[in-house]
Amino acid sequence: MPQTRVEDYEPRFFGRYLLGHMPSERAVNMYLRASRSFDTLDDASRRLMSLAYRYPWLLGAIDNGLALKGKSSSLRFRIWAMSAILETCPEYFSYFSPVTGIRAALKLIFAILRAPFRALIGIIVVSVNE
Amino acid sequence: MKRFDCIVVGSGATGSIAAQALLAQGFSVLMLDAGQRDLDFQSLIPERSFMDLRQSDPEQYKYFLGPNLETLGPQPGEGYAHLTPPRRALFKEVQRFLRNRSETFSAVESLAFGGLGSGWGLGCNVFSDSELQQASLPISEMRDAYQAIADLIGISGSADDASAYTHGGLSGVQPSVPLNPTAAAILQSYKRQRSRFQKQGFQLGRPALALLTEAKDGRSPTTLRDMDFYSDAERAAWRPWILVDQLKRSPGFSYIGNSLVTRFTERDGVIQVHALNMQTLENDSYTCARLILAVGAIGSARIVLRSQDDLTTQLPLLCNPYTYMPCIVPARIGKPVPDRDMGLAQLVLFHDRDNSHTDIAQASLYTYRSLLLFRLMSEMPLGIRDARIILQALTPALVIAGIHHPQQQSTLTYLVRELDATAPTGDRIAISSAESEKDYNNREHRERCFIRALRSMGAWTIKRVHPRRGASIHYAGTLPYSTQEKDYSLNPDGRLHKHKNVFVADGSGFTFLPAKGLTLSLMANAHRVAKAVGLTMRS
Repeated sequence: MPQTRVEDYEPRFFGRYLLGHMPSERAVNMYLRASRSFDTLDDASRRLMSLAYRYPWLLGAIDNGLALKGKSSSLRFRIWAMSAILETCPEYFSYFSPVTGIRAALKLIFAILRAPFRALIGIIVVSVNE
Repeated sequence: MKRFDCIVVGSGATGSIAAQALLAQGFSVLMLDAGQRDLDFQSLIPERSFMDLRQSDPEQYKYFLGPNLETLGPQPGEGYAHLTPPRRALFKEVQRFLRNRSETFSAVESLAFGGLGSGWGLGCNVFSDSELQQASLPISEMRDAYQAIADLIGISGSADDASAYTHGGLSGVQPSVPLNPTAAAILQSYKRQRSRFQKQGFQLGRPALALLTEAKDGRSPTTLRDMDFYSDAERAAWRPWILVDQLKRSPGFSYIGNSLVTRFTERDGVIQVHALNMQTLENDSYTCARLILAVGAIGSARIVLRSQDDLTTQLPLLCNPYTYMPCIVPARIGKPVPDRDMGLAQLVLFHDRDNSHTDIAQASLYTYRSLLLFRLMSEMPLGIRDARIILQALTPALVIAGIHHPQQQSTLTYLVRELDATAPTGDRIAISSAESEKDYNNREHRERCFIRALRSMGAWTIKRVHPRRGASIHYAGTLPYSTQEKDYSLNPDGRLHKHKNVFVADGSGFTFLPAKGLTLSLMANAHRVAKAVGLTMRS
């Protein structure tokens, strides 16, 4: 577990997963503001969150697993909320704007190929933690 | 107490038109309206294009997610999740003052200034003669009224295969906005196999929209900012509040907001209207010679039932079944998107089984961009990060098809008033709704036809979503037209039977609900009812 308080670490953790690097302080603060109205994490989500903190590379698999086996999970909701916040930050416009040309095809193929493997691992991890 | 010739209840599409038509005939009009306003967003949204705002406005979260990021918090109820924050203002105070209870039906009502018309998708469709007949609406009066409304609000559209179903024979129609390239690809595929589609009963074309492409009456043409779901500041889109704001400058027109009409009484030809002040919760009353209810089929039924102290009568309710389907046009993957665009329907596809204009279903096709990707991500069977990457590639190819089905009268969907001690009005509306097996099979068959047709036009359906009944927000038929003098029905001029001077100008009287978007027909009907009221005043 990192040294910073969990609630401060959470948006950075999610932001890093979603963008591939640390999100801006502004995005972090927006998440913290929004999180005041979030429900507390359910038990399964809390366990998955601890697991992801220990093994950050596992978050992608957990996220894909929840999409198939826990759509209403509070952990998935929080990742989604961070994504919504990042989408409305002009500094991340290029992460959410349409990609064109061969880059679009490559990104699409890569994501489609990767998703089933992540989902498979994710489903196992989510099922074990239920 | 000042006595008015007419009191119009509601400032939405029908109330505003009825008031305008009565004023034009020289009568004094008082509009009683809940009139909830939320002007906060207007000052928040700069008058720039969607793409420009997305790239440069650090404050954009305020109108895309809400000033307090409320889109990310608990939702006020089913059906609200996909609304943009400015559009949510339409439902301010609704849960407090307009109570509904249903296990099977999501009733959407508004207390906003301008009513639900402020969230209207702007689609303008004239009903065919057959549809008017089935709805018990007089054909020639409606034709005249359609033209009067088109002249007032300004309609843009094209002359194509769909125009017989959209703006019909209306004159003065402005040209359509430029077509989005993804929609253009679908239209091209349709044109290549046109005769085949038409044999199957399909007609594709541009929608007629209450959106100006040329200046009219002080309103500017659209600049295609693609902010249609967020702001109407440029007034290219017609909204009822634009008309009510104009009427407020007319002598003979009075407006009282924060006024929730609860009931009416009629004695010796004089109407007394009782209203709840929404701020003080005190009761006010007003007197008039004619009362026109125009608060929507559910709202008007609520007022009529309450005026009769009726807790037992079941009133019928019509509502178009609605399904939406995200589709992909593979040929558009990786293609550039235009800087200027609009979020309203790009194309309309009609399914007219036997090309007789009798039994028609309608699909509106929207290209997806200005609602932001996060709304779709949560629906996808993918992790949020992978969903983002895939949607980035798919956005130029993404189309949402929203299908409306026609609705015949049925005993399976009805509403009844019941007591609710916790409500400021002391009551609520309970709605029961079910679909017959025959209707279900018809709908399924038709949707499969749409899916096949869209696939042949190059748009592949990914998923079919059936929201709860009521999600179409197209309601009618609670006080059906009847030539017989019976309770809870209207005469052909919109007068409430067993009352001399109470009229209903919204869709409460329709005995059939065509699948075509009904707002233009609601306004045309309100216009003709107001003319009929004027005639009774003169006589």
